[in-house]
Amino acid sequence: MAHAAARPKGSVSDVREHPSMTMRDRISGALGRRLVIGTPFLWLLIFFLVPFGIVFLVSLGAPEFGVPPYSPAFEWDGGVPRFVGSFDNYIFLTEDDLYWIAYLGSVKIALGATLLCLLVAYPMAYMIARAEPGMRNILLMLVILPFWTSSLLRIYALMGMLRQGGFINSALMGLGITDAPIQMMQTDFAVYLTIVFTYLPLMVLPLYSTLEKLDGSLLEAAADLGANSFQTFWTVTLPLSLPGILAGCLLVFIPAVGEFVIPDLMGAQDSPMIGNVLWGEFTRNRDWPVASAVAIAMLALLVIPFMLLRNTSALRD
Amino acid sequence: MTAPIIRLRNVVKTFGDFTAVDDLSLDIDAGELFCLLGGSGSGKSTLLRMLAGFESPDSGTIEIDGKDMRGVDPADRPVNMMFQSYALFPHMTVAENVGYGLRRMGLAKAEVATQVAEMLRLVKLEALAQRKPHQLSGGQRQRVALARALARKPKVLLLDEPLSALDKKLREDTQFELMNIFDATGTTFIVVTHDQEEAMVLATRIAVMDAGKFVQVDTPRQLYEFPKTRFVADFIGNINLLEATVTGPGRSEGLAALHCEALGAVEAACDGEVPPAGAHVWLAVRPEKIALSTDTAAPGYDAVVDDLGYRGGDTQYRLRTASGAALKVTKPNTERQGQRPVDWDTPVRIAFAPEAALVLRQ
Ligand SMILES: Nc1ncnc2c1ncn2[C@@H]1O[C@H](COP(=O)(O)OP(=O)(O)OP(=O)(O)O)[C@@H](O)[C@H]1O
Ligand SMILES: [Mg+2]
Repeated sequence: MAHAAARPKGSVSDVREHPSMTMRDRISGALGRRLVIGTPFLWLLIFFLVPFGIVFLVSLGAPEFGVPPYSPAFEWDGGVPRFVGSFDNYIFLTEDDLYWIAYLGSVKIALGATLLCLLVAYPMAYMIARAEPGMRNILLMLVILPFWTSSLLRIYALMGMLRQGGFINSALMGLGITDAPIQMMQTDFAVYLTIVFTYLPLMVLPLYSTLEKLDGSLLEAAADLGANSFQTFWTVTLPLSLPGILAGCLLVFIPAVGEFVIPDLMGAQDSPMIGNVLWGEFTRNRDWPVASAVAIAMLALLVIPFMLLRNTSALRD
Repeated sequence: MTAPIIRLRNVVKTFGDFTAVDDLSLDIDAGELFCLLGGSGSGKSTLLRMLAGFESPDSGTIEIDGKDMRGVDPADRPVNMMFQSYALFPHMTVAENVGYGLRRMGLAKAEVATQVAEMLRLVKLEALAQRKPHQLSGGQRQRVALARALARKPKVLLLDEPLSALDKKLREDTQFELMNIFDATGTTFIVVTHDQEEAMVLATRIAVMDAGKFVQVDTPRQLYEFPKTRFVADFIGNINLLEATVTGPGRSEGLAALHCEALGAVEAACDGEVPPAGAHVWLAVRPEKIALSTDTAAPGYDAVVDDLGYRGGDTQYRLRTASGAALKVTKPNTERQGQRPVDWDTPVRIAFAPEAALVLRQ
């Protein structure tokens, strides 16, 4: 402090602005920056916010025969929009158990599958990050490779394995381990397995990228200070890979909650996930307003906890 | 004399077909501040990492405090290391970093807290205990790393280039602080550095390393005044090395008479026996040990000032002798406003006492 005060005024470090930067540079720099920040904003506006608004408006209407199959939430009354919609659809969601059960079931399955994904992916990512640099790319390639085939194709391949007369059951019976085929399709087990199988790369990649950046000398320092390998993992590796864990879990959890293809093909028909309910309302019942309300409610229920989580973690730092 | 705290015997470490540490043997006594000094890639860090247990030697033995360290984990060695990059845990506070090793020893919370406070007092960081490493300056981080490594009260503290990340001014202050901490703890320090001045200031003994071998292990004074080889003479400080031939013994005990292309007939001291006449040797003279005179009648040899560099505290002159050889001479600037006595192209006379010059055979 003392020598900062003693420093003469107008010393070199007080001159902040770079002399060679002209006015034009600064303007075009600001423009460039605005463009860079603005592009994703525009993207989100057109492809997220506008559709979201449309869906929200639809959810306030009532089903109707015709095209489109719903009554609008606003009517034009002498050039002035008048609100004629209602929140009845949202109230309806709370009255019918189906929606709550489907929503909670989806969250349960998505959470479970995310956790399983994490348990499978963490050792994989750890091994890849610790492998020889040349080997790493090959192993990463192997993780990503299934992503290049259609997910539907992979699901059908899994169905072929899990069916009553499928590969696994034939093998088990052929080896005399079981007498009768095991029911695997149309169970939660099949849904979990398929979600883990489908979303695994989304978990491995962020985990790998944080683990790969982990400074090896930190692990040596822990060992030097008397930590065994479990303690080193628990006190250093794991806390420092939390950002990767969080990113991977979000990447898996969010699409998994809304998943409808996998529960439709692999799951039991009597316990649909929220995505299947939404799909059913939209297609079979042709009730666009209720389907829209399901979509909005699902989004709100997903987003609000995450926003709270983010705020508390922002407060902590 | 007690047994050495560290005993190396014929330690070899190779990476592939590259020998990083080549057949080293060494004893280090308890309470020494020992410096490993050498250029980049000379194997200093590799040796230190073998002491810490991160690398194991291909052959040879390492004993620490009388125990063979073969197969002993880093966690179980009575040594701690301060890493070149400091390797502070970024997600822990200063206090948590310093207490990490203590918690691993299974000490009670209160005991850890007292010892952490004591360590932080030692490195003068009490006020910053709750900061995270990214909220500290480079010098503060360095001290956290030091406190963390000292917290377990190791028998030997290993420091890999502890000051290299600091700027010059801070480095000099920190050198003295490090010595104070060394005195306060009584721990044996082994410091790796490639900065010869730093090694000279810090060390009780220095091992000069080159290509995985010790070239010379001696006290700073011995290394400076009696280097055994041209490599050491050149590596430590500034020196003039002139080719010469021995013509016979000198006028007094321990001196040799030489013929030197650059200067003519000279006499110089020998460390050990006087080499036989006709032997090809080098004459080594430190620049500050050469007297410079503008009086052309003074005794000595003729030279002309080629160039001079004013460095504040002293001035370095680059001279050319009558035969055309280059010679460095430094003179302290003891007076403030005295006229600069010697200028470019000034003819001068140079002289040095035979005892100030050294005969090197290799
Ligand atoms: N893990 C390793 N694999 C292969 N070669 C290595 C390894 N570690 C060190 N080496 C090699 O061993 C030699 C000595 O390395 P070391 O790190 O001990 O040098 P150093 O004296 O500490 O140098 P510096 O002053 O640059 O830190 C270098 O040539 C280096 O390339
Ligand atoms: Mg090194």
